[in-house]
Amino acid sequence: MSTVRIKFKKEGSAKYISHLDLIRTIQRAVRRADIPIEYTKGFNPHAKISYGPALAVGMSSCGEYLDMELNMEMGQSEMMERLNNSLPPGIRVTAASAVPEDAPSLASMIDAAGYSIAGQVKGQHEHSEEKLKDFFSLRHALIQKTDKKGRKKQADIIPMILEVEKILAGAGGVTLEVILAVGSRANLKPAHLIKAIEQETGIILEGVKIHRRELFVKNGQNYLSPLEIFN
Amino acid sequence: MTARDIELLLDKVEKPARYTGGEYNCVYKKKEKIDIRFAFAFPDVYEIAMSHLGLRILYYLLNRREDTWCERVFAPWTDMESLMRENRVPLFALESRDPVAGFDFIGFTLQYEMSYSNITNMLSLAGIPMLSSQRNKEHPFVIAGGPCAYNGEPLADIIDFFVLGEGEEVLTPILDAYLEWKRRGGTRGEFLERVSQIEGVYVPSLYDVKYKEDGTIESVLPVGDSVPGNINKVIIRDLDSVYFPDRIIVPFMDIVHDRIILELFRGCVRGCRFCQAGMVYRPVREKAPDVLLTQAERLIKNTGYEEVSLSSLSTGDYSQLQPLVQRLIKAHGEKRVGLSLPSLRIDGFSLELIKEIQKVRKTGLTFAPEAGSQRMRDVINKGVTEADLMESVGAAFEAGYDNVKLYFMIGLPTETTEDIECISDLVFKVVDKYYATDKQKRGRKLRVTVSTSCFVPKPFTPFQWQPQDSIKSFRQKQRLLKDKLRHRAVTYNWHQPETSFLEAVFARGDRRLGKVLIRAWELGCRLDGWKEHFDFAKWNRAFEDCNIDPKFYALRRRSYTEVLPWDHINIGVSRGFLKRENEWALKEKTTPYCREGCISCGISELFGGGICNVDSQD
Repeated sequence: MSTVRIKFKKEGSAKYISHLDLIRTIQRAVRRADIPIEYTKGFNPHAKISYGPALAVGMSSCGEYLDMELNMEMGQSEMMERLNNSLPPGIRVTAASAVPEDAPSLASMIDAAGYSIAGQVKGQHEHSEEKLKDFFSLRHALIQKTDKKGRKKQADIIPMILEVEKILAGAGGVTLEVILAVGSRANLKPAHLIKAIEQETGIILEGVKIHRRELFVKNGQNYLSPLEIFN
Repeated sequence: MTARDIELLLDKVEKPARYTGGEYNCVYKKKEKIDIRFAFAFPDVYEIAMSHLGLRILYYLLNRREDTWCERVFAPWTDMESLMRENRVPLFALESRDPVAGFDFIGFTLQYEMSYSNITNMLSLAGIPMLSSQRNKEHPFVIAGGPCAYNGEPLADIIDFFVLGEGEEVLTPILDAYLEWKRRGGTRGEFLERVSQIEGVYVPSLYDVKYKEDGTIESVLPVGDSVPGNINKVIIRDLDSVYFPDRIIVPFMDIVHDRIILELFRGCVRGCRFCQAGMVYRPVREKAPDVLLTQAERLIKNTGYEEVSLSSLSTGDYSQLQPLVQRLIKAHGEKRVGLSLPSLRIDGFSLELIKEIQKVRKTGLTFAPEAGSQRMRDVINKGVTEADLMESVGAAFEAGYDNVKLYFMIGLPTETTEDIECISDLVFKVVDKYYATDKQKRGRKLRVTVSTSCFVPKPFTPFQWQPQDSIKSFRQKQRLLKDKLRHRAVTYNWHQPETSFLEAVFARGDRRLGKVLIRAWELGCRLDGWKEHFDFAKWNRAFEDCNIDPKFYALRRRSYTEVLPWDHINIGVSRGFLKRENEWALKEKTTPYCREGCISCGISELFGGGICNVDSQD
């Protein structure tokens, strides 16, 4: 028995597939590809596949991951080829690697995600870039979040913005490249970042497209991808 | 309108996967190489539409033609509809995202009457004139098939022509005739006249309906000598050799029947007197187990589905069910492919079969005694006894099942309060059976779900002359059952009688109802199959505005001499047989099922004999 980690893209029409539907879609692709997958026991057996943090509906990504448990060895290039022949358009496997036996679960490893956020500024767009730069140098920015039980909570999002890699704003629109905290300890959704920007700077973004570039595991001062971490 | 506009709408709707297309196995073609653009239209939302076997078959059958591209178009949910209207995005096909108004054909499948308001709404969203008579050369031909097409009269002014019977047979000559007509550059009327010659095609505008003073029909006569007076349905004679797809579209989102459907046979050997499917899909034609095994293997391989449903009107009547199940499990059980057996008849059920299925996956069990008393079951010719039910339920409980669904119908002809009380008596006998089962063997928590539907008299059944029960009476009966079925293990579900009333109106309606359909659409009726959107008050207003009394269609007992709106359609089962069955029903006299001997329903005469599988087995 062995575990393999797969990196994949989710783009085009496939970005409208919800996380729950993605699980079903992958499970069927794995069956079509005839990958020697392990199944759970019991009356309703299902394939042993675990996923990274869910991607919101409508978001594209080139940095999604999943772990599959196999009951037989299979070459990684053959596996990638078979999977890619069996996946619907928009979902593509781009890398695969073995996972060490004692490794923690994929979901528990992930600390951060890199996003590209693009949109148009509603109304006046002068000084947007300065305003955005000012925003990212704020010490605190509180937003109101609603938890699962419907209770309202104040949260400071600034500590959850881990890196700001690009701020571009002009007549052509706004592009932001950021790394945000992901996981059970701290989690910042891009939608909440956009809300905080609106609140603090008055910049309202329209026609927003969000793309997840990569998931990261924090290793000292470095951010490594879930595949790099085992190298 | 561009693909980008549609993309912007997708970002705003609740379930965008309903509208994206691009699922595994869906078909894309180069438009330049296509002569016929065909939109297969299912007048309900994606989850319902994609579960339909007919769509799955005809989509690939049409796409086998190199000159044809068949795409899908479904009813949008209200959120998408509002966005489409706001942004002037016309109804588009899922694959190409092209507006369907520019297609050559829009083919609706008519599965239930309550979807009619989605047809009018879809035509409006597409920008296609509502009435057949308003369409010109720029517009597609709007056609329809499926069970409700056998009496499509309420849609006669809207649909250009109906296809009666099994689509595999009749679509090819229609498309061939279309190509020829298109090349010649004829008029719309010329094409309609041409297709009226094709067996199984009914062009309603070529028939003139006259009415008597009392509102009943005087005559239905063809216009012109070349138009046939009667229209016969068409069937596939040999199901083993008929096309069946080796793949189906695998949706991203969860749909109602998210599994492979294997069709074991068409038709039904039983003769339940309320059942339209049991009459219109005759004769019985089985597929050979070898053919089914090959089809299953290909479908599993090409879809990755983890469940196969063995489907038919009455799966338990498949003559080789047990060996088929065993062979399927042997071939695919190891890959964790589960089997489900819907529509099992109570008496066709065996413990061995349950045990076979249970090896892989455990699914709930559904039984349909249809009526509570033996008297009532004799009236409807449901040849099942209480002992049959108890034996099957007992076997299921012993095999560890604890989740059972029971289906009944209320408002059946001759029904009394006592018959209704017998429903609850039967339910509690099932409950008692569970508690009498060995604790070691039975499941842990009993759940019995009881559903009652309201009887709708349908055309082409022995009960086609019977009045429907009133809404008030349905309500009384439901209240009685609600009171009687109070038990922690029992859940009681019932159908809205208002919906069933409208079904009865349109099922046996005539073409005067077309204006009611259009008026109801104007008033905002759509998605009537969905409780949250069904608005009975609007429908009542539509009837009033059109000066039509719906009770005339639903609640009136019709005489044998009356010309019925569908009398010019021939499904093969004779009017004489239906009449005899209706009379026997009133005498509580049962008719044996086809395997016990031919009951002379008339189907063999239409197709020249030797077509029923059951005949050849005698």
